Amino acid sequence: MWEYEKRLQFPVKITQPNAKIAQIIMSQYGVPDGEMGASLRYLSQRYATPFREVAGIMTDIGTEELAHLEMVATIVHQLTKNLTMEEIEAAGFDKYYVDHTLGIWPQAAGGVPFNACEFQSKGDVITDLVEDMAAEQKARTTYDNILRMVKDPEVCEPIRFLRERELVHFQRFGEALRLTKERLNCQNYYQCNPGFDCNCDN
Amino acid sequence: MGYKNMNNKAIYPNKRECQDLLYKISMLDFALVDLMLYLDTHLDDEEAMEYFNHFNMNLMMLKKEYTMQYGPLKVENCADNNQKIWQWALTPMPWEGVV
Repeated sequence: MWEYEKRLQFPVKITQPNAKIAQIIMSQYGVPDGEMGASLRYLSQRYATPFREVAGIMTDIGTEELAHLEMVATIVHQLTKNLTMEEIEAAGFDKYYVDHTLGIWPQAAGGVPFNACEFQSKGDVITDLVEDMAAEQKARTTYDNILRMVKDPEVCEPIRFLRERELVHFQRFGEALRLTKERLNCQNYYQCNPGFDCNCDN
Repeated sequence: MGYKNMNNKAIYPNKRECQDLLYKISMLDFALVDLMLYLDTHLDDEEAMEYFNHFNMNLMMLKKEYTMQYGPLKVENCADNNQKIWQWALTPMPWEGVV
């Protein structure tokens, strides 16, 4: 169950539209290491987790990712608001415009659409948590790359906020992995899958 | 054009003060989100739980103040300020930014 609150997690107020930057930031909405993949990854993986705290952290981080998805969409929306046809063509935004006008659609900066193959839900909590830690670092790298290209402070502030959240989530998933291993046989953590095999307790 | 009439009743709250209050709400709520994730992996940290309760009480007061003055942030608060019109549909969407 979810409830909607009519506000952003962090304010986004962009006054200068810029289709070129919008195209770059769109990647964090659609793929490959974006917020849509992040939220669906954690919210799908949690069912195969027999440990409540780990399912809890996946739920709570997955929920925060939905708020981040809304922030990234808002950045793209505000960067493309009130653009003229000339500005759209000059920025190379015409290829997106022809299919979506100024609507929000999940795709990578290079035009590749969102695809569930961007993330895994393996049904094995160790496998999933290691993927989650990598995913947070990949998103952090993308935000670092964005911050090297974008100079408008109205865009950089919310991007910096999102980047910092990747670090916190990486830390929490690392702790969840430690909590998981503490419940498994320390002679061989991988001898069974607690989401499938019985008698995994140490 | 006809479709513009849909926004005739839209509410644009007194910008500066409304935004300041919303900013304070966002700060407190962010502290709670961060504490929640910390507590998810540190179940017996009583000090963190005290912080959580402290921020949560302040946040609830600010949200009540916001709802009374500028309309509901959540649908469950729609009845709180005795309006005769369904404000949930008329307050700004979060992505509108600078109006």
